[in-house]
Amino acid sequence: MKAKKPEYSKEFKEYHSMLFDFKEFIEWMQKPLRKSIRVNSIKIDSKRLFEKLGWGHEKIPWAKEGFWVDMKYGTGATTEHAIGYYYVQEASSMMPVEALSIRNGDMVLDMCAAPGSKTTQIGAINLGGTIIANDSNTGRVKSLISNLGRMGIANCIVTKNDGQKLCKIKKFKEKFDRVLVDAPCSEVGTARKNTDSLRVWTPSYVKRISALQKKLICSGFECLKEGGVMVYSTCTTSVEENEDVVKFLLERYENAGTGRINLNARYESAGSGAARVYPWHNDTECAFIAKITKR
Amino acid sequence: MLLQKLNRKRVKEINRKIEKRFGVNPNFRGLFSEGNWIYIYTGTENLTEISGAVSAGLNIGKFRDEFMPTIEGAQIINPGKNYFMLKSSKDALTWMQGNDLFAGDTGCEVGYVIVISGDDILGSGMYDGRIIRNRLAKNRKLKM
Repeated sequence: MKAKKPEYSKEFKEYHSMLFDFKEFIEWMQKPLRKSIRVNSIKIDSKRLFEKLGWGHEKIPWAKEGFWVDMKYGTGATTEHAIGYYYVQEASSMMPVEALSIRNGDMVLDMCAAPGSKTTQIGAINLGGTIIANDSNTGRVKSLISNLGRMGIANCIVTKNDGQKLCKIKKFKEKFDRVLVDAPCSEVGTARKNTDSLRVWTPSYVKRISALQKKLICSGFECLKEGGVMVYSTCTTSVEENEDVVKFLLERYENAGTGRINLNARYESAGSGAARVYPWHNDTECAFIAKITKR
Repeated sequence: MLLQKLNRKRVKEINRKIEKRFGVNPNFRGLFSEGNWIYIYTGTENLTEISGAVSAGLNIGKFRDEFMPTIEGAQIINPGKNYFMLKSSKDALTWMQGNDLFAGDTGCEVGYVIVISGDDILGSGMYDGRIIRNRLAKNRKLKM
């Protein structure tokens, strides 16, 4: 069943008509989003979980423990969810961590971590390393701590710092094998869940948030060790929040390069080492993922 | 962050209390506390050196005179005694919503018991010989 046509400004339409077939985009925004979960391999395996839940499911090709499930409502209202057997997470939101190529034992920084979907995804891979999960917002940090507990993650330290200034902390500078900067953004890509982001989108907001994103990506890069890998991701569409931010970093740091994204998903190349995911590629939300390396 | 590393003596005491109550020694090492709450931290970084840290590791329970396991603490302990098996998934839902359980005579000793449904460990409660008082944290209770 289609949702009603979302509201958006003339500016929004003009801007996005330059990026893609706008009519197709709006049609996709009215289609309900497929529900997806990530099985918590720390506590249970997927076979046993689905025997308990009895839900129809389909493997998400790019995410090791990701599944689409045949449930429209109530995915978060089960005993299995409450005791940490799975995390309700949108399928495209599982891509950045998969692109980060984490090895067990790595020192990992998740810079804008709350509410913790990606941190707990990292935690399930990196059992032998350490994760620093940072966020600057007190309320969101509480939900991050709660989700880390529910998922049984014992090797994570939660910090509450301004992400832009993390690199100034001595203990953080060039310390991490892997850095995830899942930056705050205008969230246009989440409109299949909530169309408000289309209605409130303005070029001036994009300009402001892009300035913050540039500071965050630079701070993240300075926290990265030589030979390390960083993923910069958003769930939005504006060039200023995506390609321009990566370009800014690459121009500013001589030792910054791009890595190859190797996901088992359909996406559009967004220049070297970057991918744009639209709903028509994999029936998900939108995502932008860039893989950065440090020489 | 107020997490304090527990000394060996205190860790040994906690392991011993758990063994006495639940019949298994979890052999915890590297425990930390914040007030009466006990955390296990398995990362390699020294907690005291991390600027802006507000939390670390996994909350496994509360220890005063006795050890009250959280859901995760109970799952790690996997008890050999003083556990209560629920009869149905309906009972499990009732428990997860934060309700007390009328258990009657369970064969458990009075004190903290771990609640189990099938092979799922659902946390702990205080058994008074008749009722198991629900001790799930507010943020872990199911809202239906």
